[in-house]
Amino acid sequence: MLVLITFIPLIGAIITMLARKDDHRGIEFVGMVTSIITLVLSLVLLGGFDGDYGSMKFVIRHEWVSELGIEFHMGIDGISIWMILLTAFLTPICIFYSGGSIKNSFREFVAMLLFLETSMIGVFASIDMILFFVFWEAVLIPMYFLIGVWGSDRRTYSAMKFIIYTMFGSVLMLVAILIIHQAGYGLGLRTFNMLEFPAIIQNAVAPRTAQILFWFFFLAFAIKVPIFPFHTWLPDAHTDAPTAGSVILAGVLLKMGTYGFLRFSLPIFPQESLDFALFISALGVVGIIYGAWVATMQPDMKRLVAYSSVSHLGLIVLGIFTFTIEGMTGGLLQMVNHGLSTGALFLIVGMLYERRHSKLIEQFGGVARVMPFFSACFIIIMLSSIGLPGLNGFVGEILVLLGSAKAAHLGLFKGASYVLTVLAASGVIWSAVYMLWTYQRVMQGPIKYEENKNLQDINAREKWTLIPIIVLCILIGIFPKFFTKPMEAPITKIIDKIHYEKPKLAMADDFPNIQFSYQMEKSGVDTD
Amino acid sequence: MIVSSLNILELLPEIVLLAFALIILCVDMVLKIENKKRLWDIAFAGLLIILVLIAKSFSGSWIAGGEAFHGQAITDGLTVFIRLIIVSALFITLILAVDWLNDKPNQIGIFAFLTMISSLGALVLSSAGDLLIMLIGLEILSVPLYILAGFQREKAEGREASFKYFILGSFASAFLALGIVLIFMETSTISLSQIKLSSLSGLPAGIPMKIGLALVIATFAFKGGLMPFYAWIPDVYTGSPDYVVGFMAAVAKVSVFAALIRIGVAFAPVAGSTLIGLLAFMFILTVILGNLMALWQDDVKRMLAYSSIAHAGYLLLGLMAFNQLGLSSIVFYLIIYSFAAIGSFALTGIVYQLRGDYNLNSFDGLHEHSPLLAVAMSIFMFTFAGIPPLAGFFSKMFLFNGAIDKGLSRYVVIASIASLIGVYYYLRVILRMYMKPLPEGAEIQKIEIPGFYTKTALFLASVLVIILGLVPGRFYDAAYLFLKTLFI
Repeated sequence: MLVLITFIPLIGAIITMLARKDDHRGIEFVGMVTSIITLVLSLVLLGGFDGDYGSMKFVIRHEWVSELGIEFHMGIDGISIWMILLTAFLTPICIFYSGGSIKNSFREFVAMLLFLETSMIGVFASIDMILFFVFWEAVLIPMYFLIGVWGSDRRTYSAMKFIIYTMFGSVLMLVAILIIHQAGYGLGLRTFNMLEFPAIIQNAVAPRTAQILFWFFFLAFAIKVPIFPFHTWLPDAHTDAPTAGSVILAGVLLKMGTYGFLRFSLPIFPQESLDFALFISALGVVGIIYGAWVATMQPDMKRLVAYSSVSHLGLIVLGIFTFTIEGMTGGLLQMVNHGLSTGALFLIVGMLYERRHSKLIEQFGGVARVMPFFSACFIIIMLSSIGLPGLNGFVGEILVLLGSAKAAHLGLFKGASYVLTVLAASGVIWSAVYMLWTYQRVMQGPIKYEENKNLQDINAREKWTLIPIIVLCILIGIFPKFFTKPMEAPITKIIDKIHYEKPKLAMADDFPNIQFSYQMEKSGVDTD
Repeated sequence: MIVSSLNILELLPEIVLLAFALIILCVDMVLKIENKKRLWDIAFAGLLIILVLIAKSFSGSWIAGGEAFHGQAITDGLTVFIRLIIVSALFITLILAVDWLNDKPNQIGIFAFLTMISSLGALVLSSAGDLLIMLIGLEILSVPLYILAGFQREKAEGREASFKYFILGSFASAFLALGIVLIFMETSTISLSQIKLSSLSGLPAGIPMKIGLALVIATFAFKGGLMPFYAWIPDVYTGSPDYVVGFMAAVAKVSVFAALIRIGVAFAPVAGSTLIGLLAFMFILTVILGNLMALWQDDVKRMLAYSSIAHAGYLLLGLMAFNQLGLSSIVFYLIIYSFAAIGSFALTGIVYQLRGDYNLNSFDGLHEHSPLLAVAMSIFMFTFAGIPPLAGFFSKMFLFNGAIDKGLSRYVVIASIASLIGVYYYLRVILRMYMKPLPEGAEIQKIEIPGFYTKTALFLASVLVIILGLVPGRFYDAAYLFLKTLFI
């Protein structure tokens, strides 16, 4: 089943490559059908868990390189399923949208998107570390072409920067994987099974080495996320990528980094994660504020959304490194939310760009008058990104902040968490600043330029690209529990492995528990 | 009686190869010029027979290994694999040459003869059981290569390449001879197994042996294109015919590394530290400088030449580790490198025919010109860069794994960072092909380039690279199993 979901898009990609070059409709049809089959099958997966989200399900295991214990080993739990669903959800939207906007070599474009989908799903479904790494790197090939061939402006520069930057992190991760694998020989294990890695680290690796290995992993994920000082590839890649490329990049590729923290860094290196959590959370918070401030000052809308990603991803990182169920659930949910809302924002910028061939904010103004439907979509998406109660962004943000506060309450970082929480909470304000200000300058006020008077409102195709996302945003906002419930079991499993002193453990019981937080969301909905 | 004790049948593939090479030479003399193309039939028939023979040896009984000529030739698992790599490299090269020599039929015979004899030399070198056989093998390998480098007599660069290669190569061979003499002074034997036995007795290596060993290693480093003995590579590779360079690179590297493995087996107990020191020195130089120098090249053929130096550097990692994991990854790396090198050098040749230049910008917009060529080149470049799911990733990964097993993590980090530089210059070629438009006024020539046979060869090479990337296990596991005998 999992193999089907992973490789159906690849088969679709091969079929599209066999189509005639100018058969636009046929290519689009194949692309849509394969990606929708994938989506439906992944929904079936979600139903197939039978309530047990904590352990690996749908496991497939075959030998690949038996002398080294490399296996074709896949399986998913309550964390990966959401990432797979997000991927499977965004890909058809991208293909559908691009059907109207990509004119040159559409066949190759769809094939690349489908190839990308295969590798992304593979990343989220792999248990074997080498298999994971293969998919992780394979993502780079289609993305490289998407940016480099169909991008704008300095596309070749950005594509190269993207690939070199991310590979720098991942080669060191490969070295770390191999070192852990070799350490396993000492325990009589010859395996790349990620589920065995924690035991190897604990029993066969010196603490000092484990720290270095942790940083190797960290670097790979931090670049992918990107966490604050490693973010410089992101604005370039986003700005020059085609719209669909940006959507996938922001929607899924960045999540590969945070997913890596959740899936690998924390379970494999519980002690090291705890030791360095303060530093990493601080970087996350710096990212939140820095990203927001820089975003505010961007004249280019795509760059603005790119920097807002840096800000949002900082929040997710903070949530993950609180080691509380609220924070991590919130982080994971925020990964999905960010994928939806930022993906949609890129689509919106793309739609404006197609009409005016400009991404500069000052080229617009008063667009709401000529494009009313568009402006409604824009405002919903924007509010979801800011985190308005009732929409998805709110649930994720409040859970992360709650988790961070709880961690402070529990004595994590000796109370430094309080400061981090406060600073992170200010990010919500900053995001309101840049988002609302952008909306105001682009959509409201008088129409400054003659060209803008005749802009067409979005057509049916564009409407149907945005509507599914908006519906999902509202659904997550109203029924968050449906989405967070499956996440709890696997996350609890991760937290259980992380032991830190809880001096105020007695007081912790008084702390408003997770039930309370859901009530808060409900009440938020009511007052909205 | 005496003949049977020579175990001559163990060397059947080599004998068949030699026989067919000689048959081709003789038949070439009597054939009329319009019938010369028939020579290809003979050559391919011979190669198919040899491939069948090699395939038969992939059965269990061969793992134990054997010997011929009283230990002068070792036919163990390593030999079998090296035979497979070299003969398939030769096969692809000959397919490539069919189109290339189409309008020069009187050169077909000599070309087939030279490549086959050169491969024979490579096989002798890699299965050598004593140091003198190594010298002989090296000469049989090199002399045809000197000629092949200048095979296009009308090109001045070709003549220069041939001459340069010949002079420097002869120097290197002389050093090898000197090294053998020095080793002989101390051990009184040239047989590798004898040296291994005597070195197991625990006597430390004396000065003559250390110097001798250094000279032997230097010779092979020269032939394999390792720093600091690399200087001939860029000039010779640039001057040699495009369809032969890949073969030159592949055959020389494969046999040299096989020989180094054999030397390592014999000398590791007595002079292990000397060996490791030499190899580590060469490794760091080669991997870092090789990649950096490739980075500055605007000429794709020259860039590939420098990158072949860098690849030899990664291979040293496996030698430094010198465990079963590392050595089997060397074998795996060599087969992938051979295919990708032959394919990519041939592609530079095709582009040269199309655009008249090896420069990077002659690759501009190649995919509009010929999508298949661009795809093939991308496959080779991604393989060289080590990006999965192509085989190049696994070959590097296996090497790194072997080295880490031996505690060489630091060197692995150096290698992995250096390989990033590689990613840049390989991707630059892809970037040119897909992301730059065809140059203004460059009308698309409708010459039949590449021909059917060239396409077949490129197809074979790229499909093999893809397949080995998807199922690396089969080959690697077999290599691992077959190299067990080296450690007994």
